[in-house]
Amino acid sequence: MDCEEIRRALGALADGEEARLGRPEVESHLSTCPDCSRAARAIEAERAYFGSLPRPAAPADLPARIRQRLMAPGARLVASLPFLRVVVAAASLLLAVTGGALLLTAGPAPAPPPALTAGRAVDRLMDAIVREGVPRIEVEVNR
Amino acid sequence: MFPRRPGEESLDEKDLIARSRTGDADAFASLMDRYRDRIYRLVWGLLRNTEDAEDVTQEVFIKAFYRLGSFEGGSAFYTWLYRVAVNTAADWRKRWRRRRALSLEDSPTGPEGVEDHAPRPERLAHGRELGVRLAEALDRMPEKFRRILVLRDYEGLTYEEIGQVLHLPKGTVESRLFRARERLREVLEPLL
Ligand SMILES: [Zn+2]
Repeated sequence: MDCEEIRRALGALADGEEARLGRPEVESHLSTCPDCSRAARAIEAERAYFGSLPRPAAPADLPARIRQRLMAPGARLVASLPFLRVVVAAASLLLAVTGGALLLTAGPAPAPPPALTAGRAVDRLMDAIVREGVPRIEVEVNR
Repeated sequence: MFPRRPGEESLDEKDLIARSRTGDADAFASLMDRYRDRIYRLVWGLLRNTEDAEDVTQEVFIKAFYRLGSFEGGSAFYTWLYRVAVNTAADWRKRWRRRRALSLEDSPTGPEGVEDHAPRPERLAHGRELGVRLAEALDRMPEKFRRILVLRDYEGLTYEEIGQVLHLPKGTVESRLFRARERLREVLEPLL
């Protein structure tokens, strides 16, 4: 019997998923193979570890803090103007095609490299807003 | 574990999502109320640090608010939100490491010998060496292994649900879990 196959089955069986080998086959192998028995104990230990971790609830004031950030002037504007995404995407795409450079300055966030796709550029901008607050947006076209 | 299948959000939730997409912060607050504990717990499981879990959970919901436009309804909202959370926690780890590497470059000893180490997991009252070793091994393993173990054994998702969150076929979920556990086995074996 192939030990690797046994170990794959061990995990799937422990997870309550369909396994390629049945439980009796696996168990009879375990009784003769110390390596796979250790593997079974390792899986048990790992599952017991996750089972022992706390399952904390979110702090009560978390939604209020998030809301405050969402209501910050500018942040709300960005969120409420879905077409801004489209405008920024279109602009960066156009500039990429025409060889111009779109510079998005968002605090310490780096300007997107020229190869960045328009969609990624918008996501970067959004992420920078999330991290640093609403940025100064400078659009610079190099001719 | 997941409340509904993709596309089967309640009408009420669909409405909240639609309103949130227009920038309605009240609607989004209701969505947050439904999911904040689950998302916070998932992030906590991925980082195992309370302070960081709070910051990252904030980031997850703010990002979700801005990105709702790209939620196409092809997957359940819950699945999508989970994905945002898993990716945001991973980005946070990367940023943390970069900052740490930079600050160590400035230090007299330099960045040598820096392990791909846990950001700063809380010392949990496990006491047992096995638990400590497991926590360390988890924090050092590649992100793709850590997230799949957390989704499976902390969150209790099925392979199918994990596949939905991570956009992976079920077979890949199974083999990735196998490989992640093989790594842990190497660490644990001397103790078993
Ligand atoms: Zn064996």
